[in-house]
Amino acid sequence: MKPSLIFLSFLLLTSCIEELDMPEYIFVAQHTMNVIVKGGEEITVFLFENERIGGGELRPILNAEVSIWSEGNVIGHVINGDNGVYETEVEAEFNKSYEIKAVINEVDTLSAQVFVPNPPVLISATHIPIAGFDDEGSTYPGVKVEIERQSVELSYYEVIIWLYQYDEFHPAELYNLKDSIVIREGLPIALFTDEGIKDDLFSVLITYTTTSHSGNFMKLYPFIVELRAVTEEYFHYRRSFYLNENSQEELEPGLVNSPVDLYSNVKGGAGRAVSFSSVVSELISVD
Amino acid sequence: MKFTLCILLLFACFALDGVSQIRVSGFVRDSVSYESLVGAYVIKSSDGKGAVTDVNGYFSVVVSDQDKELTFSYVGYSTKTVTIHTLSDTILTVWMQVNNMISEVVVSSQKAPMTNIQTLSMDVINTLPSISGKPDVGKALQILPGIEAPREASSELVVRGGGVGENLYLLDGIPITHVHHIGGFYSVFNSDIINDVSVFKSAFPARYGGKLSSVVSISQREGNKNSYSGSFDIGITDASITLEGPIIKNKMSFILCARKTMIDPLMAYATRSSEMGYSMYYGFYDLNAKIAWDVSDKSKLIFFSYQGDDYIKIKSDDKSRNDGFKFNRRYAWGNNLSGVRWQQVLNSGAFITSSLSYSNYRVVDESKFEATNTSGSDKARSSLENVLFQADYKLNVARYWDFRAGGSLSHYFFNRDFSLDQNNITNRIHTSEMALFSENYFLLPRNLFLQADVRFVHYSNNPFQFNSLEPRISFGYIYRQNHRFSLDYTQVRQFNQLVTSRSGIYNNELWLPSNESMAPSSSNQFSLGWAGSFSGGMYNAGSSVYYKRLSDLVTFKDGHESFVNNVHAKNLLHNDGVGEVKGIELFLNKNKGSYTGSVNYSFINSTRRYNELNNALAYPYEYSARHNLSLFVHRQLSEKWSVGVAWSYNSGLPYTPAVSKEAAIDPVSGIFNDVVIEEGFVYGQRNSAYLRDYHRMDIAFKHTSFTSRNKHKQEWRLGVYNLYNRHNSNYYRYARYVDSPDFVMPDGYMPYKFYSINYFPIIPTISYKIYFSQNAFQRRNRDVSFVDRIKNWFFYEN
Repeated sequence: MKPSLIFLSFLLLTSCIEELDMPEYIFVAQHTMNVIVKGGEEITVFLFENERIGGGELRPILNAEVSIWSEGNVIGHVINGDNGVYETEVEAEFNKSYEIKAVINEVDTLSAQVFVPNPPVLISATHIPIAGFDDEGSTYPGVKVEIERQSVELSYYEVIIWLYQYDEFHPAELYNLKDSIVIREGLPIALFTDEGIKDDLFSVLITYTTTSHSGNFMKLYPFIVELRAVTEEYFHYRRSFYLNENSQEELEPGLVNSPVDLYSNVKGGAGRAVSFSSVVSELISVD
Repeated sequence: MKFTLCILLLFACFALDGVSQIRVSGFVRDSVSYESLVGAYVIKSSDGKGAVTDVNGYFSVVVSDQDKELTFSYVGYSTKTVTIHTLSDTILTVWMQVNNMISEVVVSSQKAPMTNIQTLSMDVINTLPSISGKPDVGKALQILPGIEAPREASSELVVRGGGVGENLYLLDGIPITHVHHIGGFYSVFNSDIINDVSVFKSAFPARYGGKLSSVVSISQREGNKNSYSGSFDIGITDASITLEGPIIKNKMSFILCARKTMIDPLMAYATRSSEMGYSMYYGFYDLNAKIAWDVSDKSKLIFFSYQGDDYIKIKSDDKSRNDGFKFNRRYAWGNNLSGVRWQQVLNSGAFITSSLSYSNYRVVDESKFEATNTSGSDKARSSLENVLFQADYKLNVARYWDFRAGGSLSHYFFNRDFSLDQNNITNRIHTSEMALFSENYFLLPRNLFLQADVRFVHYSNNPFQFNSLEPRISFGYIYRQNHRFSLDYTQVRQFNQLVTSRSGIYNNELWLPSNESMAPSSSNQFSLGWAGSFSGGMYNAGSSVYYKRLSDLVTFKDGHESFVNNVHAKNLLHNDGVGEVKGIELFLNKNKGSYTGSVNYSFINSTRRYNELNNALAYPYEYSARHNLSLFVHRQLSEKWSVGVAWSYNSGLPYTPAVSKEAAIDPVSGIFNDVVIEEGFVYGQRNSAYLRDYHRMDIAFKHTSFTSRNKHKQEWRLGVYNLYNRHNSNYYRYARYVDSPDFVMPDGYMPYKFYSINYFPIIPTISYKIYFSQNAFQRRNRDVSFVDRIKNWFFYEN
């Protein structure tokens, strides 16, 4: 329970949700292109139409022509994507730039530039079974991730903890982040930079929850750590994605919604083309 | 500056015109308790002009040969007339007697009300309905025109479209940083010790500075210098006790006031007995203490202290757990403040006050745990300390000129400590503000007046230095002693900025000092006002039109938060904000008669503009509604029963609508190496839509009687918040609620629907207060112990 003000709980209990008529907002139809390029993997482009806030499902764009350009040359080409998904056969190379274009109905052109960073160097990932305890006295774990800097220039990173649960890897929900390098970015996500860090090696502590407990101890699962080196565009988009999703959540009493639009770097429409390269640890046992 | 000096010299020459004049000054006090009376009127017999006692109960007037008498009046007291026999300057102490026959609420006298200041006496505050059933200063102020709550049931203030961190709260003249409990639902100001509350919304006197939007001055009582008395007050959330009395009879008094929530021991008991393995509780408390010593007729020494915290404690319960895991966690946030003030009447026309104070607002989140093979601790602490010395000198220079000057030296210490096991991050920032001010009030011919003030501040946050010259001018006309018209200009700068985020309790408020990358914010306000009284003071009314321009405002970027100041802090903020506020205010008070009350209306158009927000276009300020109307009626139904009814209306706060949705690829998808496309919201113009109208009626009955045994006065307050159970919107939400049966479309897709989230339904309230007087002491047997006397107070045990 979040700092458990009984008064706020009282408010929640007595609060009332009331459906209202959806207001009539001015709607402008627009195409959206989404691409997250992962170094070493094939580039896939997603094309959709936007929709009214109270409207139906987003409609995929089926009849587009998508091309991937590198150094002024077309290196990949695909038409008529399946359900809005345009899978190219272009494998993204590290430290290389691409231009992605989508021509829709032979009229509208969406385009964006993307640069693929080199993969980061993960020195170690050390599991910490008890990194703290929550407001109800239950423990939560953490992972200490040691990273080697490869450049004197500003670098952007993201850490993802993939829990092996129910025969699949799911991202762990981050919980009560308290590492100073992480929280200085002002959002509760494991997205950070190495600004101000002089040493070649540095580490961050990522605390998380598995949301299942055994008594007062959190039930732990094997996991892998993915360390991403991300581009500045990814950094901005990742933050806006978190904030935009968060703006759809129900608020605690007294708080104010933060309307944040999604980051866009696509010309001729909406959307984003961003990139990262990553390394993944071995499966870490928690026994 | 040259212009100001010329004005001063001109009027100095004009004022010292050789008219035969005598200065009469002194203090107005309660004849029984010897307490100073703040805001008492002093009226000259010749022309009906006069003065009002200040927060020290001090007045100074210049009388002429025609002035044979001075009339003193104060709310709830019999009017007193003093004949002037003297031919030279003199100092008086005027003793006022309580008039028990006055039952109606009196807001002000028949003298022309001020246009820039509004005052609420405790009589008014005590009669207003409140959600807690007990008087709340913050909520009471919200009935005044131009003062709004940023959200429902909040005690915080949005004054003339400004931010909640732009109000200077003064407790006995000392700034206090954090002014609410439970995230804004309760004011920290305990009404049991409050004497008087005044709010400046424009034309701030030059002695005040450092906050852009208002000055809220709260004076505390000094305690009864003649006899012991007290009260005990209990409501649905908290209880408070007040004790006061003489330390040296008629010379030195104390007053002690304590308030605490009652729910925390219940929560601790409930959580511990549920055998969940821990106990957890939340609460808050306030402790006010004041000692006032009349060293002589001309000098006074006052010591006062305030301590208040909110706290949440979570602790392992060893009895109900056997896993060997121990933990202890504490969140706490609040102020402590202590000060000492010396007042000295130098002669019949001069008065000097100086004070030294220390205040500390701090937020602490610390935890420790211990398991079988491991242990750990973390601590985050943030504090804002302030050491302040103030001095000011008041001089009645001439019949037409009141002069006041002084200065202050303020040191601020912004401390952030963050430790995680053995790793520590410490951040210390020291800033200082040295301020000098001059206030000059000139009574001009033809009933014109001019208030010409100037304030100079040197701000230092090394290496950043800033000099601020802040003129404040008020020029006006007094018509037939009952009406005042004025045109004001006020410039203020704010050096410590409050930024609030949407995250949890402890880092919801962060104070940041101005520096090279964050300039001091400033406000320039023009205001044109009228205030007048009618029918011998039965009614007063007023109106104001104003324009305010704010610049260099600071806010967190949407959704961001920061606890530790660091190299990135500036990246989390927008610090180039510009605000514009235009408004009209109207008020009408009925002060006497069987019905008393007020009607207040304000129109406020408050906008903000930041270069990186809303495409750099101005947008409506999210905490300010355009139209605000409040009605308050109080009626004495019988000797025992009275009722207060308040109705408030506003035209709805602005919000940002989501106008469409677009595909957004999830960077961290649900399953490793999978790709998920989510629906992202596309927002329209910021704050371009408005919540539906807000309105609510509250009612409170008060039953006053005397206990049958000891004849102690007692009060029952029975109230209803939101009498007609209006569903007022706190915010709107686009959501999918799966429990709605008609929600699923044939293709299995669930569209977003539009909801209003409403918090406060109809809520009944109750509270009880009993007053103790010295009668209880007088009846006691001299041999009875102190403990027995306390028992006697509470349980009537002999």
